[in-house]
Amino acid sequence: MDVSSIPIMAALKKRMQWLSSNQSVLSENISNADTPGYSAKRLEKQDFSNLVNGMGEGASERASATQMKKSNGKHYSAGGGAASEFTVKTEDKGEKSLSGNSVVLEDEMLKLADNQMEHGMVVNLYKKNMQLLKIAMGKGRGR
Amino acid sequence: MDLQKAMMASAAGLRAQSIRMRVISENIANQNSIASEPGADPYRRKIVTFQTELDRATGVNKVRAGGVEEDQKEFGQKYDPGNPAADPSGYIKTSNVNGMIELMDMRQAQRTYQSNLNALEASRRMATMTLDLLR
Repeated sequence: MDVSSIPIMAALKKRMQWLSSNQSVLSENISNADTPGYSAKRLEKQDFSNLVNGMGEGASERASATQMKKSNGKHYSAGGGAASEFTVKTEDKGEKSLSGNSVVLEDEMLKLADNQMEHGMVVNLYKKNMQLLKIAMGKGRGR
Repeated sequence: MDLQKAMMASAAGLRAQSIRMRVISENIANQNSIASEPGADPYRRKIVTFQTELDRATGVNKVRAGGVEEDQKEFGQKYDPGNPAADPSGYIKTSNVNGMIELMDMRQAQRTYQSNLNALEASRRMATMTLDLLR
């Protein structure tokens, strides 16, 4: 069994990927804070609504709709694979400095702190879920 | 890995700001440099330009300190007839560096450097946290 076949784990993994991509977009913004003509970039927000909607019956079918099917016992499961690319948008609203730069350093730092906190949360949730699985397997007290 | 890209972007920012800092220091140090002979030009203020550059290997929009250009502002003049560099009417040309502007520029460079450093630190912590999942 693949850990990612558990919907919550798959969602956490996806979120972690998004958060690290977001970190890289924010870092780019900060490093270009003094570049003339640079506009701040934003990562498109993730949509988990189909995960929530699919919590009822038929959730597993819906979750597996995007995964490759195993037609032969010798096939590896395609759990890993390339991470799906998230779309980066250029933010066009907000004031610009005289040099045409639209990065607000305070804003970026705030978003960076936010991003970091959420990453911490997701990592902890992942850890807790793993501990639950270990308890279910009867290995120690989830340690 | 994306966190590594984040760190590379921050590192490029640190590098660009430190080049800027170097040029600002040069300007301040040469604020009072005048020509050694009559008719020659004194120190001309230097300006760093920044550009965004796509690193094709990683897909990171890195900042890069482009060429160092010269400020075309006019030189100042000071009446100092005893100076060996003075022209026949007793004036010497002074550099076009304004200490206040350099100071403000330095502050801005400092602030951006600090922000980049914080971003780098944040990315590093996130990577460490993720790796700690293995424990």
